[in-house]
Amino acid sequence: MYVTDGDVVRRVLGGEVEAYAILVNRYRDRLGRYALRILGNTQDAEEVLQDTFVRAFRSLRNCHDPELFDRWAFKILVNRCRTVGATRGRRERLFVGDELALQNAANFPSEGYAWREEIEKALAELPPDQREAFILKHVEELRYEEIADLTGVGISALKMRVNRACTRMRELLEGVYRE
Amino acid sequence: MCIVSEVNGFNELIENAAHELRRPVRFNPALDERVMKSVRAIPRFGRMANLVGWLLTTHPVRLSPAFGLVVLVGAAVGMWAWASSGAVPEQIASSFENGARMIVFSLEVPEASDVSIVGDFNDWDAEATPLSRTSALDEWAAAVPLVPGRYQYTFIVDGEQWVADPGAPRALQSDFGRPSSVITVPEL
Repeated sequence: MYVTDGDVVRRVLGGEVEAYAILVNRYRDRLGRYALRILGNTQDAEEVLQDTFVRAFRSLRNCHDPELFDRWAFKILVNRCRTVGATRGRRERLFVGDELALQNAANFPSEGYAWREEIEKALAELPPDQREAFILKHVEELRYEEIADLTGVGISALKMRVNRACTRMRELLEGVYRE
Repeated sequence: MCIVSEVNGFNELIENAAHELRRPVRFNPALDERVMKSVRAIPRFGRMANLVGWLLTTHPVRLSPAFGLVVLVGAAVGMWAWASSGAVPEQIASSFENGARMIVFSLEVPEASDVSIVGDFNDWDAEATPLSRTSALDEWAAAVPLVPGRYQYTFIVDGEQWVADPGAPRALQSDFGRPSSVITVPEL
């Protein structure tokens, strides 16, 4: 039987701490993908992911709509990624040879892996604010209103960032894509 | 391969890249156990902890406009009733209308049974400004509204003893030939 997020949150708040594992298991990969795309390496992504789940647990009483736990936790994650991303420069983005990237690439043809590597390199070239906006819009597929709510940035500014990110990504990838 | 369409900077190439980035990523499930190990070390939620947490946490409050209006009107009526009941000392309420400042005079005479203050500000009337015992019990005090200027004054203990303020400069000349003090209230 599927247990809703709201049920799990209520059980945890009622003292059943072990029930929290359901939420961690349910959202580990989905939240982790965002952290990995933003930070560019597995180690940082796992650290931020773990930190996000622990912070969410500590503040669980502040989750005013338990049925939307994932959205609430995602907001914490976005902020944590910003903080960690700001303290670790772009030079530490380690897409190439990243263990998790290699593991996940095992399911795809080698040419697919090379293409993905180029994409991730291009992503790493973007300024942090454009990368964040691009991933939230085109990878997480959120609406601009949702992104504005998550980031506190105005919709016009977000549209501009996404547009600039697309332009830059196109410049970086066009040659590779035509090959 | 060529670019076939472009809307707001978005095109086939970008869609292809985004599609790649959307592929699911699998993290090591051992991360779950690390998270659980950390959260188990955090003080547990429970009824009592929840109650304390609830009391210490901010909560959004939603009011209908009608109820909000009732609360506002109630608060206004309450304040008006409080003000008109005399709870606000007339002396303090009016003291701010003419630029006066509240000056607190105090004297430490634990054995006294009655203390008042006389000076230029109350025409040296011994009945006009009685002092009250403070909560410290050995000190007497009164707040007097004074507009900026220079004033001579003295305390009268038990109706007959004139005592200069030990915390203020002495007046060089006293109209009554008794010890008195001087206070200068500066402009704001």
